[in-house]
Amino acid sequence: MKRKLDSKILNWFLAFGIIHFGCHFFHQYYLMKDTQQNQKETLFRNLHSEKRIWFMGDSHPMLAINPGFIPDSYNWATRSENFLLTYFKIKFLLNQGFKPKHIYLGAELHSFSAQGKALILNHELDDGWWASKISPFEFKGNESQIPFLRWWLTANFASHAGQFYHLKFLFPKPEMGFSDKGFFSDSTVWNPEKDSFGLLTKKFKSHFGKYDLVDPVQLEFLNKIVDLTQKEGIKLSLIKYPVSKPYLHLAYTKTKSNQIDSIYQGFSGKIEVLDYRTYFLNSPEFFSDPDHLNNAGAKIFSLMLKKQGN
Amino acid sequence: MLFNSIDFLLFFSLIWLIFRKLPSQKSKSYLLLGASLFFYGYWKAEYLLLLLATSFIDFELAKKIGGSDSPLRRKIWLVVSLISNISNLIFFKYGLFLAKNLSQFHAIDSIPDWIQVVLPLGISFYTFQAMGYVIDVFRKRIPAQTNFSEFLLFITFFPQLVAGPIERATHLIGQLKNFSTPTTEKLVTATGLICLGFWKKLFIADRLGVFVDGTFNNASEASGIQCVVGTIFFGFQIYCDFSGYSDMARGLARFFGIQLMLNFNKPYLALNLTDFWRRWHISLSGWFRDYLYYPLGGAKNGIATGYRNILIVFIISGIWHGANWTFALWGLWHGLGLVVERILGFSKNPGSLYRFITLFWVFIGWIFFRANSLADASLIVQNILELKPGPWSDFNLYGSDWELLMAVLGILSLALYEIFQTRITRKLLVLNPEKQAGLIAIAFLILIWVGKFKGQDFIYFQF
Repeated sequence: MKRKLDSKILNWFLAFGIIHFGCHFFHQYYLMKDTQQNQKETLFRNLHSEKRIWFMGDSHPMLAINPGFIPDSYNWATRSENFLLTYFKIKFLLNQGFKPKHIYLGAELHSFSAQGKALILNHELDDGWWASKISPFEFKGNESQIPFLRWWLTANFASHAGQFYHLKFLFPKPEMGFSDKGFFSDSTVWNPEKDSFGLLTKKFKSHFGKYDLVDPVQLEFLNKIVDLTQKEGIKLSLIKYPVSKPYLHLAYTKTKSNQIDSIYQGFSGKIEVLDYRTYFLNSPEFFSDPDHLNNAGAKIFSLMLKKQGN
Repeated sequence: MLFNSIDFLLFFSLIWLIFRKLPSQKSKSYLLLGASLFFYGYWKAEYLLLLLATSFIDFELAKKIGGSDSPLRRKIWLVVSLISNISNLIFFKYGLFLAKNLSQFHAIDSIPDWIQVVLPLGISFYTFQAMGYVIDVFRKRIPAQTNFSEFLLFITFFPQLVAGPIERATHLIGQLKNFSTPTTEKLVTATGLICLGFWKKLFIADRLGVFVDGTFNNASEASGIQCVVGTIFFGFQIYCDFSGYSDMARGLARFFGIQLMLNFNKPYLALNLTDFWRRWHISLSGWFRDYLYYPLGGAKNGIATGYRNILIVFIISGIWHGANWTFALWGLWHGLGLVVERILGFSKNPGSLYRFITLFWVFIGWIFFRANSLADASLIVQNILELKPGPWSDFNLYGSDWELLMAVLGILSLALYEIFQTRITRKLLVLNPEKQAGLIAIAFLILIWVGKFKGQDFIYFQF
C-alpha cells in the first residue's frame, strides 16, 4: 500500500519535472524569440557578422547611432542594458568567434546607478538571454555579491520563473522597428515646454531616484570590460551621448555628476573618452524625450561621428 | 541561506536524504546538529562561535540551577544567565543605537569603532529561546539538560533558528530526542505547508515590497493616497513575509518528524486587539506573557498596575524588533490600544464593527514599524491626514502595471484563503494523498510563473 502511494507520488514528481521543463523551453524558445537581444543577435549573425565597429550600451546608443551612416558598424545596444550585461555579451560573442576592432560603449551619468543590478535581481527584461549563454565558470571569482550562479541556473533551468507577463507575447505584437543594422528609429519630437506627461521628472527619477549613484558592481564590470578589450586587442571608446538641456540641468544640480565624470575621466589614460553630452544642448528638436535622440538627431550625430573618424 | 534559494534546496535535499537512511536517533540528532551549524555558519562563520559560546554558557548555568537546592543560588545563577543573554543582545543589537543617542546628547564624544558590528542573524530569536529554557529550568518545569549536543540542537535547529517560532523547551526538546519517521501522507501535508509559505513570500510579500519601498523610502514626496496604499500593502507584506517563513519552517521541520508551534493564526480576522495578539507572532507574544508580563504581576495587583505592565511589555516587545525609536513607538501604540480596549470593555464583548477598528489600529501601527525614522513616520501620517495631492512618487518605479495587478490579486487571494481556510482545508484533507500531491505540484508550477524571484531577505531576519 505504502509502496503504491510512494510510486504514485513519484509519478507526480516526474510529471512536475516534465511540465516544468516544458514551461522553461516554451518560454525560452517561443515566448522570448522576439526579444531585443534575440533580434539583434539574429540580425548580426545573418547579415552583419563581418562588421568590426560595435556600438554597445543601453537605449541611448540604441536610438542615437544609425549604422547606416557609419560604414562597417553594427548597433548592439538594447534598452536598459548595463555594464554587467554588456560584459557578458562581449564575452559570449568573442567565444563565438566574432571579434570587433573597435567598441563604442555608452557612458552615461546613470550608468553606475544600481538600477541595472536591481533589474538583474528581478530577473526581468531580457537578462536571461545572455546569462543562459555563459558558462557558469565565468562567474567564478567575482568580487561582487551578486548571486550569479542563481541567475545562471534560473536562466538555464527555469527561464520562466517570475515571467508570467511574457505570456502577453502569445498574442501578436508590433515589430520592434530595428533597422537591419540594429538601429531603433524614433521620429517623435520632444517639446520641453509642453512636457505634459512629466517625462523629464519621470526619466530623472528612474535614472537617479532610488539607488546609490555609484554601484560598485557596475564599476567592477566596466573595469572588466576595459581589461577584456585590452587583452583581446580591441580598441574601446567610452561615449557620453547627448542629452537635453533641462535633463542636464537636473543631473548637474541634483546628482553627484562630478563624481561620476571623474570616474570616467580616470579611464582616459587607458582608453578614449568622448564627451558629446552637450552636443545638442540648444536643439530640443533632435530629442524624442529628455535624454534620447530622435531619428533626425541620430542622423546628424552618426554623420558627425563618421566625419570625426571615430 | 534563504529558504527560497537554490543553495537551500540542495542543502535540504541532501540532509533529508541522509536523515532517512540513518538508523539511530543519536546519528540523526548529530546530523541535524551538524546541518544546523553549517546552515548558520554559511551566513558568517565567525558568528557561529558567538552562538556556540552563548549556548554553552546557558547550558552550564541551567545545569547549575538544576543541580542546586538552594533557592538563593538558583536565583543567582538565573540572574547571571539573564545578564549574560541581555548584555549580549544589548552589545550586538542596541550598542550602536545607544551610542548614537548618547552622542546626540553629548554624553560621549564619538561613536567608538568597536561598537559598529554586524548584527548576528537571528540573535533575538535564539537568545529568547535560550532564556526561556533557563527560566523553565529555574521554575522546575523541565529538568536541566545534561547533554550539550542535544541542548545545542534545541537552540540551533535550522528550520526555526533565524526567525522562529521561538520554541519552548517543553515542546521541542523531547521531539528532538525521539524523531518519528513521517509517513508519506504527513510529508505531503508538510510540502503543502512549504508551498503555502512560498506562495505568501514569493507571490505576495516580495511583490508588495517593491511598492512599499517606493512609498516609505520617499516619505517626503509621496502623496496622501500613496501613503494609505503603501501602508496597507506593508501590512500584508509583513504578514505574508513572516507567516510565510513560519509556514516554511513548520513544513521543513515536519520532514524530520518535528512539529513546530503555530506562529500565526489569521491575525487580520481578529475580533479585537487582545485577540490580534493571540494570533500574531504567537510564540513571541506567549514568551512575553509567560516570562515578563506574569512575573511583573500581570493584572493581579490592581487595574492600574495591570495597564502599566501591558505598556512595559509592549514597549519592550517593540524594542525587541529593532534598535530604533520607531519600534518603541509601535510597541507603545499597541500597548495603548490594549489599555484603551480594556477600559472601554471591548476586550471581552466587541461588536462586529470593532473588527474594522482593530484593523485600522493595527495598520496605523505599521506606519511606525516600517518608517525609516520618526520624522518619516510623522511625514507619512501628515501626508495621509492632509490627503496630500501629488503623483505616485516612485510607487511603481520598477514595477509594471501587471505587477500592481498581481499585488492586488495576491492580497485578495490571501483574504479569500483565510476566510474560507477551514472549508478549504477540510476539502483538501479528504482527498487522497496522491491527489493532494498533485494539487501541490500544480500550485508550485503556477508559483514558478507568477512568483517574484528577487532573492529578497525575510524582513524578520534583521530582528
